[in-house]
Amino acid sequence: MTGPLPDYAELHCLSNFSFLRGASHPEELFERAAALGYSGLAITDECSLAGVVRAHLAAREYSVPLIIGSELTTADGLRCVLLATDRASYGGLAQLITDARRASPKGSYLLTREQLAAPGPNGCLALWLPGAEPSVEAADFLAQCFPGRVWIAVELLLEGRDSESLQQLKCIGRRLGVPLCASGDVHMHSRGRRALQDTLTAIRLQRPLTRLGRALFANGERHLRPRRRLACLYPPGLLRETLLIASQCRFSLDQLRYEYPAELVPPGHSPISWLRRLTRQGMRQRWPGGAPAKVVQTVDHELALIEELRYEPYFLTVHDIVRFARRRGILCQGRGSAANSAVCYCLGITEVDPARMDLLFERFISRERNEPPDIDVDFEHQRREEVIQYLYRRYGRDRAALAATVITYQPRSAIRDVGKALGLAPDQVDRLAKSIQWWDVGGLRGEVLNELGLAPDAPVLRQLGTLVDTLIGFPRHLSQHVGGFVIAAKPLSQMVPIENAAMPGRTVIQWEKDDLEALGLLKVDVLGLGMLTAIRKALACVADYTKRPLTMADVPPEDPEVYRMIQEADTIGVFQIESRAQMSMLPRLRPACYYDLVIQIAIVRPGPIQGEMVHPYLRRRSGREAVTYPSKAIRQVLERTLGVPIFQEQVMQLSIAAAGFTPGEADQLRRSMAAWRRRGGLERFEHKLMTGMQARGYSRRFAEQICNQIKGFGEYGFPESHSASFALLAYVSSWLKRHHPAAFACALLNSQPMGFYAPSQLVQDARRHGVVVRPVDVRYSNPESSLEAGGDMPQPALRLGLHLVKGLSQQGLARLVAARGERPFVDVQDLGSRAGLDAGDLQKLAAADALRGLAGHRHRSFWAVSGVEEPSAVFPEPVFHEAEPLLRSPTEGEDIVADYSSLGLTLGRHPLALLRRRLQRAGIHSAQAVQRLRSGSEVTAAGLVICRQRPGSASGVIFVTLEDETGHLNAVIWPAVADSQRQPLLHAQLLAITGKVQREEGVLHLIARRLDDYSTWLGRLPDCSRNFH
Amino acid sequence: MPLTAPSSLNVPAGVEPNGPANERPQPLWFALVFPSLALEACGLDACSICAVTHETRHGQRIYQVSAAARRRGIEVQMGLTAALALCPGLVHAPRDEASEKRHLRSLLNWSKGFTPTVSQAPPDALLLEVRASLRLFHGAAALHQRLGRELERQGYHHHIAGAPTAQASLLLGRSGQALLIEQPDGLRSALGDLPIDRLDLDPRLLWRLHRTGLRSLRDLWRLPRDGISRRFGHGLQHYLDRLLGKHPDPRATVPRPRCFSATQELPAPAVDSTRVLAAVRRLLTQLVGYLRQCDGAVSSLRLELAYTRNPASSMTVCTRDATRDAEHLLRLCTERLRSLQLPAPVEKVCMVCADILPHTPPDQHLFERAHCQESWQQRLEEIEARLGPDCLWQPGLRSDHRPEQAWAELAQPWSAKELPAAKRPLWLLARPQQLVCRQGQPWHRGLLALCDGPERIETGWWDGGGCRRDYYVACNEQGEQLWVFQDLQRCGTWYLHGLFA
Repeated sequence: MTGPLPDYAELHCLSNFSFLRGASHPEELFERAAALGYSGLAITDECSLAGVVRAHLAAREYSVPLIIGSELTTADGLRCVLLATDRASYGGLAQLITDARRASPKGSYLLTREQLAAPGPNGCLALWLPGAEPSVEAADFLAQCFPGRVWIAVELLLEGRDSESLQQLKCIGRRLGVPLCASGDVHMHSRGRRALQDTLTAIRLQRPLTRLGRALFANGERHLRPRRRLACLYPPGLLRETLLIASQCRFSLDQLRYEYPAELVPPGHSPISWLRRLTRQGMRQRWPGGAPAKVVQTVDHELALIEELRYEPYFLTVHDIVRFARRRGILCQGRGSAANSAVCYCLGITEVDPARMDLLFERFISRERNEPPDIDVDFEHQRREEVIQYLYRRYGRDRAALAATVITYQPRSAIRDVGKALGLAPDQVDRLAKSIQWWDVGGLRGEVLNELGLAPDAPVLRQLGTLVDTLIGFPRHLSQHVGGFVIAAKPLSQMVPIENAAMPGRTVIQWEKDDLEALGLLKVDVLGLGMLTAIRKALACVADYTKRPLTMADVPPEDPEVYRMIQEADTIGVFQIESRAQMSMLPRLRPACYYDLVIQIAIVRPGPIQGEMVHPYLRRRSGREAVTYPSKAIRQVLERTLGVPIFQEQVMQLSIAAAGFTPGEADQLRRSMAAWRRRGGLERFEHKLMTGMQARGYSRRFAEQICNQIKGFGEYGFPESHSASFALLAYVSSWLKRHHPAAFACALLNSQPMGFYAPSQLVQDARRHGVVVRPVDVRYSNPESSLEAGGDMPQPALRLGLHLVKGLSQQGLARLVAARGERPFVDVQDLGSRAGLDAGDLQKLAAADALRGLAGHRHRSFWAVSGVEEPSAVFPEPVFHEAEPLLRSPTEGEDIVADYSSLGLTLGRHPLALLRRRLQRAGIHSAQAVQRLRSGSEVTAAGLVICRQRPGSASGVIFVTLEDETGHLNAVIWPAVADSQRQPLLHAQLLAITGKVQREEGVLHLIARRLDDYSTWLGRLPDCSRNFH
Repeated sequence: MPLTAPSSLNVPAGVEPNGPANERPQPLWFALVFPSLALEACGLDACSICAVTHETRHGQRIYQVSAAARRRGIEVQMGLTAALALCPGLVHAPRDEASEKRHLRSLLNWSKGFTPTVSQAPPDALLLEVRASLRLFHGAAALHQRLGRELERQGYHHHIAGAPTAQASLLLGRSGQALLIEQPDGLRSALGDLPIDRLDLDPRLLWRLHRTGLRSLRDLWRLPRDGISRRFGHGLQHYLDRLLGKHPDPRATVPRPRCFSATQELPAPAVDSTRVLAAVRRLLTQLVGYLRQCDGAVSSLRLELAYTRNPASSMTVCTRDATRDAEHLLRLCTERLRSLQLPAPVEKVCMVCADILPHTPPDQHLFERAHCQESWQQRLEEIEARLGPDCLWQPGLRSDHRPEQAWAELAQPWSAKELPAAKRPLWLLARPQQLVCRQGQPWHRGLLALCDGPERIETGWWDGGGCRRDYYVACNEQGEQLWVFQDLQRCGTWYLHGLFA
């Protein structure tokens, strides 16, 4: 059967964005379509356009035209595919999907025939899907809705009645005058996905495979079939018809001509004249005495570029949001590629002074890159919602929306769903899923299965393994992105379908942030940042007790005392440089100015670590290695980082300066860097880099080194523009910690959850810095933690707030404070009846030892609380005369355990102080004692596990931080030790680690050899570890 | 865990073995506590590393553990997953409450040999009031020893404690204290140090007591009575009073189990089953009368036939549901007797029903006839009684693409409603028959022409019965219509799978 292959375009194909139906990614479908020589491929996900942007990019990559459409089923069972032909019909389709989705709960849709017949979608082409029992009436209905634009889709899938149904459909077609076309009901890119497709069906129908029977497809024909095979199955006319249809679908997502919202420009102004005016205004505020010439020049240059690329509305939008936040007193700061431009500084979007930085605007906005600049704005995390509500008010809910996040299958969820589908017992599935720890990559491993008493080579487990591996990364459902806003000029639903979110009243668009970016749509990231909340609160506290207003701009720059503190790694609570990894780098890097902080923040990242740039930089900085540059051009790029590329921007600049890339190419390089680990595709750049550099006279060795560094950078490279903004916050928070430790600790406690450390560590650290911390007390504590000035103390004391009391109701708390405002409480009965606290709230207060001042120790508090009677009409203030109870006072250990379980911290001794003698007898050293040991000594130390961390850059090494009454100790656990001693590593609260002391440039680590779980010694202390990965 | 040997019995000093004779005899309660009953009821070896689990709101949790498992760190209320993580070799089974009840019941029957006043303290204990039996068994200590010995012989882990109040003996037994306290004044000192966790109280109340710093019973006694009642409810005070005998604590004695047994002597030895049946009819009348009295029903009864000069034989007649319908039972007995060859003349017939179940009459609609279903079921039971239990089966459709799996002898719960849309032959071969190929075409009594197809079936990969086949309707020269397939997994071998009419 040779001869020319017929041309064919597939018009009915589902990707895995038809959740739990399609079994292939859009990229896979296009790759396969290209390999088979298809003339076009429609992505027709069921009532969804969620996958079309990815399909659009894949179509471009594989040069197979994409047709956008959707498969729809009406409430009365009529099935069809609608294909968009132009912008108008695309808008109609998006609106139709929006209407159908909005009429039904999350994940489902409701479509009526009236909606199909409405004028909106009738510019689309329609393929009628006749199904097993074709109804002529349905075909007739479609033919009337889409006159001259309807086809009968003939799907021959070898299900036993192919010839029969072909005849039948021909008959119907002749009768109604509707042409027939071939299509394949494609659910997967190749036959090999059949098992996964069956499994997805099982997950969707929530029944194991063994119970599905004919609910599954009879065979795996629903894949992209070779054209030779189609030629055998279909009459040639039907295949030809597909090309005719494809040629009518001329719509491409590139045509989504974006129009920016117009309301930001007042009448009489053009966008650029308005932006110029705002910038000039800002410049006068920043430099009342006149801006430096260099800045004026930069601003002019930037404005010219903005005007040329027509990005004014973008800057105006961000400026508008920031101005709103300022007006409301919400602290915010921009970051991201365009944020650190001089224009943004003038507009108040960022505080990073262009005079202090050497940032080149063109790096962020390039002429060749036809997409808008990227500005993320961080707001105080507790008040971000106000900003979001403002955006809705300003642009209307039909024009502004949060982007979606596609929730994808992770190892655990994949194991759960596939395990259930394969019919494993719920308890087995549970054990399997839980055996996957957050640091396990690559799915199920043999030893884990053995540990669970399962045979790794059992067929069902092998199937499980393969299916899970494929399923990981599949989209599962749409959720709302935390802060990526899209703002449109016209109703969004004409551009992208909008559907209901799980939360009532919330909606979500069907595209992700990356999708919006890829199409060049206007999006603003409105993110929440805990540290901004903390800084605002700390500034307010300080202003309150110093009686002088204080803003971030008032913080004196470059204070040497602040840097001295940072160099000693005394940075618990400080933004960014408080993590274990950062702290271990501080004594080596010894930052002494703002720019050192910018480097410090960027260098302790997986990118520079994997690209092996940390050690060369340290050597050069400490003078042990000469700072050299291979050329003058490179010197210009790398001089500020001593010849070692540390920032993402430097890699781009290097490619321009040393290998002759255009700025646009450099940006493409940045993008593929982000993705090469997952998708590859760095090869062509590598070649270009090598030849480009060699042509410019650089040695092959140097070129290779640069290439390796780029690969190491991968997706983790940190942009200087982010780092610059972060460093500013790091400096301000350090300054607050150094000069106002009580206010700083108080603000951190009131901004939880945030940062690396729990309240317990923050409070301990504050006390080590001489802050007087007072316990929670119903007589004095406010809802939040607060400062108590008074006496002759240089620093006010920190009073812990009632918010730390676990489980105390918000209403109870409010009533308590209100009742106390009237007059102080006399006793517990008075507290209970006047504040109207229920038994639960009273018990929570007793558990927190907050009643000590009214009732005595915890046992007495509980006795008192149990006796509180609700006031009644007869006895408005119940009084009882009872014998005094004989209650013993709690032991110190009991109090500490109770403190931890109710407040998460204690002001008493550290639990380990109580165990010290016992630990000593067991030969266990304190953290302080270990600090005094020489490098190489063998030692055993124990402490509460406060942090377990497995950085992606550290090739499986796990870092554990132990805390005892003398301080912290960091331990390094190599994968071999971690794997063989999972139990203690995972579950111990009190962990003893035996190993070797390693000391390097003032940083000490314990290299673990043996782990022991001593948790039983602690009694009932709740778990206080924070796990990071 | 080693069995608690009765020799470890420990009588507190100062307590007279026999109380003063001039008072009304104080009751003496023995609590027989079976700490491993849940394990033993599941057939687990309580000396090995094992545990019984139960389903809770938080998933499967440990209900009871053996001492060996406890040494491995496994505790009650721990999640099963966590327990298995600690000890992968843990043998575990779900809790079987019915079996526990059976065990407790049989222990109760056994203990009736020592005293008539026995009551259950579910889920794990029996309470025996033994004052009246002391003389017969040579005093409390001797009885204590004897009970222990006998339980050990039966293989139960146990703690036996004796005290003047039922509550106190139970508390001591459940605390694993094999004490024997005969007089009330010994109670306070024996109980004072017991942790309050052991008390039979609501866990939430226990938690509150704990938070108030109360650890032992003595701590509780030290508090003012009114204060306790006001804070923790009268129930607690009441409990404390029952513990010390300040408040009566009546216990319901369990009556003997019910059973029915009756015999009919035949007027003359009979070789004819109809005369045996007449006797059976009379017995059934008695049975039904008895069942009415005690509101019971039976789901099985045993007939024993005694013959002249021949060993007796017996048969069991079972019904699907518990019943006391004499007619239905008679029909079943008739069917069973009819299929029986009498080896010799029958002299007497004995009817035994060991298990009397509560009578639950079927719901009756006021106006509808609910009998159809009933009588149809009865008909089936009669056929089954005559031909044996394996003789009946029902064909049913199964939902499966594989033709050989598309039907089954018994309709499964997921049976299909509709037939496959594609053409299926009337006769399906029990096993596909391999066909030879001639001139590249399948051959079966002549070359086969493929007239319709292919129908491709690819499915079943998950159960080891995975198949990939192309089915065709084929005709041979004889004009036979055949259903053949080409196996895509085995290099395209051809098979015959069915015949059309």
